[in-house]
Amino acid sequence: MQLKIRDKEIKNKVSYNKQETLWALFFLSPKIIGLVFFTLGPVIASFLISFTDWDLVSKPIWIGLDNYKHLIRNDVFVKSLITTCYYTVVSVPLGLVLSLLLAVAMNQKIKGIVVFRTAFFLPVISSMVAIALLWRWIYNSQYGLLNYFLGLICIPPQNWLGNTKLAMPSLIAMSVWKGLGYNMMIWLAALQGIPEDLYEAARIDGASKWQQFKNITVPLLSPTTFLLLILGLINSFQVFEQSFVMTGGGPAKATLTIVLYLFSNAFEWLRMGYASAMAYILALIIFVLTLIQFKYQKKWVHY
Amino acid sequence: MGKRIKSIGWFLMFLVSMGLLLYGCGGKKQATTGKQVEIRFGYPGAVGDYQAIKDQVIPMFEEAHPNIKVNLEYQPWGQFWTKLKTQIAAGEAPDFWVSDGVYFMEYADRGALKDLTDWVKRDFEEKDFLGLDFASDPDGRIWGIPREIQTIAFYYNKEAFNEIGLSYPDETWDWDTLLSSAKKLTKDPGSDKRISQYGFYSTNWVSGGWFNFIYQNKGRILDETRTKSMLNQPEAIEAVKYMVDMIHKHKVSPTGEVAGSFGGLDAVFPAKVVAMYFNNYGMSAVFNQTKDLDYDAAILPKGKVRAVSYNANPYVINAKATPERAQAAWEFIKFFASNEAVQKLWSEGGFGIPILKKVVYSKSFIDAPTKPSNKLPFIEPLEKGYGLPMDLNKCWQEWRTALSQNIGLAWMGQVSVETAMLNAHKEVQEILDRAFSK
Repeated sequence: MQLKIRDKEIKNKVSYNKQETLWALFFLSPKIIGLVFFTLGPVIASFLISFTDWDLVSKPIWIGLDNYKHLIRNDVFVKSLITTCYYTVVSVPLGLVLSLLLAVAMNQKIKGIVVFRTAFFLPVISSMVAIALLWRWIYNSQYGLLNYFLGLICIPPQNWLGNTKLAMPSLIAMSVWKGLGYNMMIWLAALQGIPEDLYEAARIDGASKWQQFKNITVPLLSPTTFLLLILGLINSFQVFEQSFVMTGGGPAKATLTIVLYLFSNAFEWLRMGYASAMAYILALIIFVLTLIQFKYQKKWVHY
Repeated sequence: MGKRIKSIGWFLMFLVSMGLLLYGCGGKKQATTGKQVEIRFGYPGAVGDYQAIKDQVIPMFEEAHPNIKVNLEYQPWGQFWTKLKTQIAAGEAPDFWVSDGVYFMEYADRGALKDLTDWVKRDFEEKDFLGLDFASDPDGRIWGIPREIQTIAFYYNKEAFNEIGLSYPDETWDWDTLLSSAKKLTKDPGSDKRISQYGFYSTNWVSGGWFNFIYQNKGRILDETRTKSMLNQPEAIEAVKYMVDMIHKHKVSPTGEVAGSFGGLDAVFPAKVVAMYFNNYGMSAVFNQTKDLDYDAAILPKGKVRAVSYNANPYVINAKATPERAQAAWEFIKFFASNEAVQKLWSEGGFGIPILKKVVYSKSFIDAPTKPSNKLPFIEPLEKGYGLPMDLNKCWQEWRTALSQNIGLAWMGQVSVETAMLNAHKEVQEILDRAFSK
């Protein structure tokens, strides 16, 4: 008898869960439908398109792997790949280190610290296009703010965005500055999650500030470092607006990133198949890099 | 942040694929029987000319053709092309539209436009119009009728000339006169080592820049079939060298960056940073907003020969429009081109050079009181046959970008003109080979 009652209760619970799931799905449906139609659909479609020659106007022609074969031999694509790697290799570590230092600085208990935190976070919520336009003025070789200040300390004016060697570092500096606040916020949250007693114990053992930072802060932050590293890598491989707005990929393709080249191919030169193939190569690169990081995380990430 | 643009890309691709799905339902609309025809008119543009089309031209046309109804589909200039591409992919493009002059070959070569050659021959008297052959391809087929024309002319600041007692440019000017006058008009740098006025603006730009110089030097960019690059020829290289030397050797032209710091191409002339430069007719409307700017226009200085680039935004008809709708669209195009009142309205609105000669040579254009007072330079290149469209073909945008990027290095003084031109030649040829291999 008792058993039966429990059975019934369980049954009720199950059906209740079922109903709850249905409702959950119902409320999630706008997102799910959006995801299926606006993300999954195009993902599949562009995979198929990547095997075709399609200019949007005439009918797509199935050409198998030709797009991929041609891409590997395309100097401009390879160059854009190298440019993107250059951007990633410099901007990601630089952004991580600077934002960590900034987070440590912002973790002090000083009056008005919130104002500083807000100030550093402000660029994050600003639009990249607006920021790029602003920085175009800062970098202006004739009347720019940067050259003006350099002039005060007797450094000759530089052609920041017009010089093939300086253009990319200039974009990186701006991007790092913009992304600093975001990383800082996450670091800050992680820093505040480190128990104070660990530092207290270290102090009692006579550890210096630097030793505390190196042996307590850094290892305990490693899961966050890992997260930020992966996010940073994924984002930086898709860098687009900076060069789109500030340099148009120039001078002489010095800032032509993969996504910018992809965009031009697809929407300026009507080579949808070619651009889709490019997108898939990019996705593959990001996927492999992320995989590698997950594999090696055990070596340095402490949970 | 790259993510957002990527998702826009995905979104567009999705739209395209959905459009293809919907094509089945959309394309088969019942064709209107009887006399009444409704046509869809794709219109990219600015607010001013759109208002003129919507509130004046279309009502005039519908009054003259009561059986045709024109439905205007407006998009701002930049967005129109993206939308048009997806519409064409979906088979849902308007029956006719205004194309950017430099884009029509992209669509014509891919079979999206109706060949208008026969209709033009049947319905247009060539001697009555300007630029009727603008939208033609190397085989002589005509794909569109210009809505208006934009010729490049030589603008000069009269005040700067008066200041040093230099006589104004006229038809005797050639490259030497241009350079020597530019030297005279360039003011020596003051104590801050900044030049306050340059003689000329030599710019890495197709229509107001190298296209003119290369053709004036008897060079070519593409061959007559528009499938082979001619950029490695000495005439072309020499012409670009002449332009680049103005910046780095003679220092009579600002670099692109200096010009950019004054607001760029559109602003350097009204800001009196440069005393002479090339730009199209439409820019005079911008110049006229600066009240005290005393300027005029002259014909471009000649090189070995005369050559002036011009552009025109043509009306084109969708290849997939039903015969009835195509016919109705053609009626509208004919009406716009040959109706005097419409042509006058368009000319007096300052939207461009009218194509109906009766209006060109009237108070509406050539004798109009607006500056520049000399409007002959905008007409003469077309009348005398040295006005040239810019080697348009189906991959124009792509090769132009490649060319401009490569010679941009020479413009910045980072590589020699020869190297830049040979690199450009190689890359442009690759693009052409790829586009025309099929």
